[in-house]
Amino acid sequence: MRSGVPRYVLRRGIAALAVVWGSVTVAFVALHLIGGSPVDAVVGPTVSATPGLRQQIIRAYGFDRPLVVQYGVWLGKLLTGDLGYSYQLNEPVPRVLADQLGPTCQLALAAVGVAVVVALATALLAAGRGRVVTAVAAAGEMAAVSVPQFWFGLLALSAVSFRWRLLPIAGDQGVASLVLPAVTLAVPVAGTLAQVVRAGLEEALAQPFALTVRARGVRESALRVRHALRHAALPALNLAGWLAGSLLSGAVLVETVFARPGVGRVLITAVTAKDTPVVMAVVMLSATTFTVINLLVDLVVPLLDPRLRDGRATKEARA
Amino acid sequence: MGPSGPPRAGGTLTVAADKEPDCYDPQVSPADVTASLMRNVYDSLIAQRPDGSFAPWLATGWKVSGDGTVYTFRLRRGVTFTDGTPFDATAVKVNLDRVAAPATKSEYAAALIEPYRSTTVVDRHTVRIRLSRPFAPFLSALSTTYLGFHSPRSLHAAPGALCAGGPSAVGTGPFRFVSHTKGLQAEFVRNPRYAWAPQGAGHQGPAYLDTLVYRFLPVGFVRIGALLSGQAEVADGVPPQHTRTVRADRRMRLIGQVPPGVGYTYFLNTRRAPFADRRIRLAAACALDRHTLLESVYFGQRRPADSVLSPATPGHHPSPGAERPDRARADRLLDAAGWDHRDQEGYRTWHGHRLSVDLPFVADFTPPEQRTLDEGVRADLGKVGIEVRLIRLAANDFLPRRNAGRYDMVAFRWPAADADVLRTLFGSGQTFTQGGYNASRTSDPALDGWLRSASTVGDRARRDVLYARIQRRIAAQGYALPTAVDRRVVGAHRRVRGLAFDAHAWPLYQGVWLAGAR
Repeated sequence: MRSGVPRYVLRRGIAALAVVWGSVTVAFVALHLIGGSPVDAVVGPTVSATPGLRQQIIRAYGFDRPLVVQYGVWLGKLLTGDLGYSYQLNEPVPRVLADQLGPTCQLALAAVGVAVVVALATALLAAGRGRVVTAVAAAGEMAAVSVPQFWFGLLALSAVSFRWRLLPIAGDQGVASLVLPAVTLAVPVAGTLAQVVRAGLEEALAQPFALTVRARGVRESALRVRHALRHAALPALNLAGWLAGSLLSGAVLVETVFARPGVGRVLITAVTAKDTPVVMAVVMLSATTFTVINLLVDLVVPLLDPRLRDGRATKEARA
Repeated sequence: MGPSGPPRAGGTLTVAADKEPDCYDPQVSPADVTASLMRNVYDSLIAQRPDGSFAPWLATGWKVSGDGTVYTFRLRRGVTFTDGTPFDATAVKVNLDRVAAPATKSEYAAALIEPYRSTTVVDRHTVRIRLSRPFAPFLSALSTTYLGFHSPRSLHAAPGALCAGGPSAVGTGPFRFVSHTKGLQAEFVRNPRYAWAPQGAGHQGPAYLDTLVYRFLPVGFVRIGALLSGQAEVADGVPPQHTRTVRADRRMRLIGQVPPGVGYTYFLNTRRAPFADRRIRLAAACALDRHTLLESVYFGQRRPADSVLSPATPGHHPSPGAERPDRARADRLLDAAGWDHRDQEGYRTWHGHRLSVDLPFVADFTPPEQRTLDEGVRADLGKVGIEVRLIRLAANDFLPRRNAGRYDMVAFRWPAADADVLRTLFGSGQTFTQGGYNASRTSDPALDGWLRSASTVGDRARRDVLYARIQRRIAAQGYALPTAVDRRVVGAHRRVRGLAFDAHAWPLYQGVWLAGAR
């Protein structure tokens, strides 16, 4: 029985592939259901295409074929790694996305970094410190969760970039141009994370083991960081999938306000212009990211939480 | 202000631009922003002056045959593309042939030279262009960026890559296109060999600026912030609510330019009840309180339009008296048309039917001030008992609906340097499905005749007489409701000197230099 772990991983891998395939299929169908003609997407909004031009486009792109055939062709190309051409930009989709992935990843990672640091600090300092501190922390978290990002971004720009001229709007000025967008994107995420981690910490500190540790004379800070945090981390880890989703949707707004390049902005223009190949590629990317993150969480959580491990799997894992 | 000595070379100028091209090839893309940006890279045969006449540019002179179908251009010698290819008769031919070729899928340039037949290379510096019929707007079309010239080498190598812009876009212009990042910026550097600006340009030699950067900042507030905080020297498209802020800053100036063509206009569908009835169209025109409307939308910074054509268009002819509403006349017209009852909400009815009209729009194509304008039009028409239903649609639902004529009003603007734009907008052979833009769906034989004549006669004065007649007809028939005289408002730091505008009201950067500290 040496195959427990590999089989589990394989099963999860197949499930993950199914999720990605399901999401791109749903997106494909949805894009065709929202009506309108893909010919208009190719031609663009400001032009009236002559019948000749329309015919030419229909033939060139195969829009006259049944939807099932179009789907089959598209899926077949996808399996060979061909993401197709953007209708709107007339470029291969990978080239459209190539320059845009980096900035969005940078932005998302920076925002996660900021959010995690802020959330941990808040939770460690505020958990179980009495009613007043708890109320202040809870109010701060609520404010962070509910502040409109667009407005916060403009406010931050107005003060930090325009009035005090400390940081540039955006652009290629390296780290400096990443600060404001990352903080703006991090605010609501930090609020939610802080709520979850603080609640987890308070619960952990109320457990019998906390009393035992304190009785051994371990300092309060060490108890919090070394022992309780592990318990609090589990619910936060389970939020990882949600986190990825909210970062992508937040990136759309933040990239617009700060005029940063990125996948969010590409997605907005592609959806409004019905640029199917680009939308599909972004959906696939997001679905893949989402499932990979959830897969990692599912693999990591049992290692952190002894209660979720069954002895056999662990023994083999250690063998 | 500082001393204004002789122009100094050097430096980088950053423009905060409101729009970003989705295709950088002006021979393919119809977008104004593409034409404006790529003017830095591509030159044309001739340049249009603000008064509608033409100046030599890459062509030193031209002759038109007696029947108006053959144009012979003598080309300037010693002009080279930035990849070293000489600009000659062959370059003109391959470019014009490419625009007209169906495979190019040109979305605007081909329509601008609609009767184009062929180009003959007479000798290295002479071309002969044949048209299938006399076509008065031809010279104006040739003066646009849409008919600028790509290097034959890049057309040969990868014509499909030209949409993507960047170094593959090679022209003879004052700047080279070095790079761009989608969603961020486009960067241009000086072409040191440039020596062929249009005749009469303030500066003839290479550009003074080392580098020209366009930063794409879609949010108006952010553009103004970038300008005032010194992160940009020029801001394009200053929103009306921010003009006061820019004006209050002593280091800045505002430059307003009236673009030629058709400003933001409501076109009334004449082939569908109720606007099929001229009396109801005129009632809608009488109901509009342009003065108050523009005061509230543009803070008094736009003049009411006195014609469907902007005053910057050669051939513009005012039809006065459209500034204040005449509700009494609107009431008389509606009564006469039989809509003489009112329902509980005050809207007019006819045999129990409410007088309502649909105005579909796409939020993404409609800037905030135009949304406010739409609301104002709804309120004004409501005052005389016409209900306007604003229908918000996604682009891909709007276009089929528009093309099928399922609307009562649609609104848009159409910048163009020649009054022949009215043929695209009101000619009966120019429906959406035929590739035209006849949004009023007019089929008016008198108008068709004048529009056709005006597009074929070469004589300016005779064209002007015809266009005056055409504009009077459009106003008298109530085919369209013009709103404001458009203005393109640019904010610029006072250090920016030598900023000029072409006949399309696009900024030209070839003669621009930066004064003061570097």
